[in-house]
Amino acid sequence: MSVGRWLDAFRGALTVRGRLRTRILDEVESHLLEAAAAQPSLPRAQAEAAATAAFGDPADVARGFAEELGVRSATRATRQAGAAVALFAAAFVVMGSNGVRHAAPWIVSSPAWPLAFVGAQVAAAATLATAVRFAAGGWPAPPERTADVARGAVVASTAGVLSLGALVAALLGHGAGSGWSLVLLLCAAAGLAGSAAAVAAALRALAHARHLEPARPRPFAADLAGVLSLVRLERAAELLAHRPWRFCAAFGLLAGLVVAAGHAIGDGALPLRAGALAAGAALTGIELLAVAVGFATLGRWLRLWSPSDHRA
Amino acid sequence: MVSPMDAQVLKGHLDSLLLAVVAAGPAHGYAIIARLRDRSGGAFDLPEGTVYPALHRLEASGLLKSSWDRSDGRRRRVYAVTPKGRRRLGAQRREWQGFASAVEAVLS
Repeated sequence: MSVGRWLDAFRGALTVRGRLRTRILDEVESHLLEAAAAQPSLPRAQAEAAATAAFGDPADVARGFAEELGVRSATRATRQAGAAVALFAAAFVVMGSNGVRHAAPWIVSSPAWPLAFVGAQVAAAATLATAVRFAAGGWPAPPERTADVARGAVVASTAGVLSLGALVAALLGHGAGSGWSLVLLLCAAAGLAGSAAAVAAALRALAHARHLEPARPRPFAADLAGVLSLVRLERAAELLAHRPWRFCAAFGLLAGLVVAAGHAIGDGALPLRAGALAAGAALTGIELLAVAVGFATLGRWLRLWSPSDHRA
Repeated sequence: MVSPMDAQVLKGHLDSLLLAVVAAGPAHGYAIIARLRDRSGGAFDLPEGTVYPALHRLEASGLLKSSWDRSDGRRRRVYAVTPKGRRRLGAQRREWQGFASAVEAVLS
C-alpha cells in the first residue's frame, strides 16, 4: 500500500480530534516517509509498500490510539467525577449536620427536594458501581472497560449536578443567607465545574470506546461477585453472581432501611412505636421501588444489567 | 539474530524498553524503533505503529517530553526522557534485575 493510501485509511479510522489528531497524522506521515527513504535500493512504490507493511494495519494503529486515549480520558473523567461527587457529598453533610429538616424546613417542602433527594442517590449508586468496576478490573481501567467507567462518570456527575442544583435553586428562591448556605453554594459551584469537566472527558472516552467495545461486555454482577469474594463474602457472591435483579432488590432494601432509619432518628421517633414502624416500612417500600425503577432505566445504560445476563 | 518475540509478551514491558532506549539520547519515533530492534538483536521487532500510542502514553505521564525538529529537510517529532522518566527507569531497572536474578537462581 502506498503511503498516501495508508494515510487515507488511517484518517478514516482515527477517532482523535483537534490538534492531537494533526500531530498524530504528521508524526505518522513523517515516519512512513523516513522508512520509505531508508530503502533507496528499492523502487519508490516498493519502498512505500514495505514501510506501510512494517507500520501495521491502519485500523489496528488507530485502535491503539483509541485504547490509549480512551483509557486516559476515562481515568481523568473518573478522577473529576470523584472530586465533584465528594464536593456534593460534603454539601449534603453540611446540610445534614445543620439539621436541615428542622433548621430549613422550606427546603424539604420545596418542589425541588424530590429531585435533590433522588439525584443524590443516583449519583451515589453510580459512584458505587464505578468503584466496584475499578476494584474488580484495577486502576486505571483496561481498554475493554473504558465505556463502563465513562458511563459511570457521566451519570454520577450529571445526577450530582441535578441534585445540588435543585437544592441551590430552592435556597436562592427562599433567599436564605446563613453560613452553611454559603458553603452549599461554594460546593455547588466547584462541583459543577468538576462535573462539567468530568462529563466532557467521559464523552471523549466514550467516543474512543465505540471502537473498542468488546463483543460481550463483562456483566456487573460478575464484577460485584469478584469484589465480594475478595472481602471473603463468598456466600453473598454466589447469591448475586449473574443475578443483577437480586442485587437490585438487596441494594434497594438496604437503601430503604438506611433512609427509614435516618428519618426515624431525625424525627426523634425512637424508641419505635407502631406508627413509626409503619412509616419506616412505607419509606423502605418507596425507596425499594425507586431503586428498581432507576435500575430498570439507567441500569441498562450503566451496564449494571443486560438481557444477556440471564443466558450467562 | 534472535527470533522475534510475541507482541503480547512484549507489550507488558514496552514502556520500560522505550524509556531505556530514549534515555540513551533524544530520538524520533523511527530511530527509537530502529534502536529497539538493534539493541535486542532483532527480537523486539514490533509492528512499528504500536510504538506511537505507547510514546504518547509515556509523554502524557510526564516520563517523556517531545518537540518538533527540522533537519535534512524533514520534520520529526523528537522524544527525550524527563527527570521523572529517569527516576522511573531506575526503579524499573532495579525491579527487573531483582526479578531476573531470582528467575536465574531457580532455573540454573
